[in-house]
Amino acid sequence: MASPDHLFAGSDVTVIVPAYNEAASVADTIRSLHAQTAPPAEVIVVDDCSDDGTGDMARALGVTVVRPPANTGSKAGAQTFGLQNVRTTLTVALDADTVLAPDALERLVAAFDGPGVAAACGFVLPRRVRTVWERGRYIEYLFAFTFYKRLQEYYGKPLISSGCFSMYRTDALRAQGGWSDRTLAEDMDLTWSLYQVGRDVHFVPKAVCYPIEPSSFTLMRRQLRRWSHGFVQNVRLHWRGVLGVPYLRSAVAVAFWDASLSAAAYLILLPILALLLRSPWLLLGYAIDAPAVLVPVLVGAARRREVPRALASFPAFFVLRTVNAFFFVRAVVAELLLGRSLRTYEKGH
Amino acid sequence: MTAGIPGTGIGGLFYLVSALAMPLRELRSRPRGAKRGSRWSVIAGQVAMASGVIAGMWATGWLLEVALVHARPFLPVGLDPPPSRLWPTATIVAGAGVLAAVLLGVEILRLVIHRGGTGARVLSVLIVTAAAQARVVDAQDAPTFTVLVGGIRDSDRNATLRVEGAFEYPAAPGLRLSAVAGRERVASGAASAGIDRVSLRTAWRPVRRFDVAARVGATRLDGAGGAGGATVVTTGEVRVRWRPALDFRLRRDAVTASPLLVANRVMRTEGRATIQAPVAGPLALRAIAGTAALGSTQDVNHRTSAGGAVLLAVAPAGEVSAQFHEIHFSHASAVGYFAPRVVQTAEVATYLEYETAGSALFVLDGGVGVRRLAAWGLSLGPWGRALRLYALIATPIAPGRELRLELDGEDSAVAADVATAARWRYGSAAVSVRWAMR
Repeated sequence: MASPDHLFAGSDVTVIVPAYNEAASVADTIRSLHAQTAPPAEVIVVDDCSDDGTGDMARALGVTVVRPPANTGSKAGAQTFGLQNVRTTLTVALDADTVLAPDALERLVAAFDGPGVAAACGFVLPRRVRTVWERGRYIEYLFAFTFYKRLQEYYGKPLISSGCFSMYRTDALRAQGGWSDRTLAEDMDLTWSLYQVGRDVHFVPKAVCYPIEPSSFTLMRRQLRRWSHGFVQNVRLHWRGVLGVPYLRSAVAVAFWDASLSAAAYLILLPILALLLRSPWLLLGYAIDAPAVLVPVLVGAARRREVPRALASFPAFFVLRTVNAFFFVRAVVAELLLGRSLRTYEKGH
Repeated sequence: MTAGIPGTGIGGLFYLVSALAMPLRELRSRPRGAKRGSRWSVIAGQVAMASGVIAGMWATGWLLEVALVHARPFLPVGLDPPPSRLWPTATIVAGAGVLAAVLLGVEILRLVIHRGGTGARVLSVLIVTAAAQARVVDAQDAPTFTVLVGGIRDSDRNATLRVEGAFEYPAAPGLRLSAVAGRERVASGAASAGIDRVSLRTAWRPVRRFDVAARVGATRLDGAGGAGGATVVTTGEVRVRWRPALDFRLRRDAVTASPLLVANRVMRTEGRATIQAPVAGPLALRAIAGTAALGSTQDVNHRTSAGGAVLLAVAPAGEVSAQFHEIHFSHASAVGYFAPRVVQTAEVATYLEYETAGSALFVLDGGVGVRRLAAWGLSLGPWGRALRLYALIATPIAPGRELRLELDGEDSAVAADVATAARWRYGSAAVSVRWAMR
């Protein structure tokens, strides 16, 4: 039921959970949906031709399970397949390895306070923080969602409505043809497409979700390949349209600079200069910004009473940042210079 | 996902500025109603966080300074730490400069692509003027970006490193407009000088054989050895060609082959005309004449040149020629270039262009010959060798992307043109990537 302040309630929401061989995690996801303070009208698990019993497990928990005739080949394909069964005003896309805080849906629903709002996303934090990769991602998310994303929200242009958990106005989603698989970052593609048709996207920091992040380098490599190529593909696809969207154009340009030239300088220029100038002091550049990164991280962690965990995880951030830089430089070179566009969707959380 | 790498590059600076600008934006927009209080609370939080980040950066610099001072006695010889405030200051200044350039570049690109608003109208007027009344319409060709890195080294131990970026926009069929910006560093021993160039260019080719190219720009020249004030000079060029019969060129540029030439602000203002007439079949005659004023802080010298060639077309895009050139200077010079009384060159030259089925282009322009000079007060001396070679390889590396490699070299017993010494040898290489934005 909608409260006087809210236009919509949980009963206006259908959740689509795309799942391919997610038997190990989909039950937690569905249980977190059942525990919502504003339960959705329907949960649709799109069993993308799994062979590990994902569909049966979901069905046993009382949700609708649909199965395409053949594997769709991407998360975007599975989500769009599920969209045809949605009959509510709002649609949520939720990854099958992601659980929600109990009030997450209620808080996201509240963001749809005007007809212009087409999408809303929440705060993302890794569910498990154990390995160096999970710890690095934990710090990266704390930093980005505490500092960058709130600023983007204030200026009305969150860079991405996160693919792991976002809510959309169903008609806006259908007007875009659902989620497109023309890039490997369907969430960014959809967000930038919505901005270009004049729709709004909101970031709701109190709507928290917890995905399982890559725990090993093998999984992280797959995810970073997908994300880095997806980002470059979206820049190439949308650059003309994005130029017409205030603030977003600046944020994208800055992100592209940092993902390409800054990352290359970080990886290549710094050690070369240190060697050529025989000045090992230059290598301090790899960590000299640590206090600047640490401030937003500690603010975010303090709000969640996780300061010890943040401090213990902080060194891992620098490992992940270096790996990130490598994959982004490689993606820029492959996509823009060599014309080798990555098209295969490799699942890896 | 987080696009970009948090903490590195200009993203951190961009969001710091975004945070610090929030109160100003809020005061200007003055939202009303219940949300006003919550907005100010968000602003206070983000501004406080940004202030914390700045304080963290300052504290890092301070701690580094303290640590380096105390560590100095224990450091190995040769591992002296730099001035502790140098890097943080340099990083912030460079970061702010890059951020400003990126944001400005985005706004200019927006004006060019979307052509909306007052700024765009002003820009459109400029484009229309530069395009000689051509109407700006979307062309089928895509805009392109080119990034070039190159270097030159000569026998006088001058070395130049060049970086250049160009954005080219097809404003109309046959008409391309471009903006070029570049940085050079020329060094010789301990002396060095920086040169920054920016220019706007237009190339108009209404029919296959006729084209007009124009360039207007500015060049900033460092003071000698980085000392003294920098100088900004205007540069430009107009070139009209009716191929192969006529080639007329006027240009004004800074001569920057050595730090001394840069320090003396040597400018070349030159006019040059080439006329070619068919004789019989593949045989043609070519006449070349030119005059140049070489101005500097100390004097103005004049160089006149004349030459002729007999050409034999050997392929649709190839020729072999026998050429003779003579150059005169009005007086000797002490500002950094070699200016004998007369230079004579006789050579056999070849020019070849070949394009493969895969659109790779090879260009070769070479000459083998002899050269002699007459120093001031003396008659012409003995002939010495004169070799030159220019090669261009342009190959598509992907749809819409092209890699170019340019090589240029000269080895002469005596120098022609504006060289820094009598015996002259130099080589240059440049690699560039050009990609179309579709």
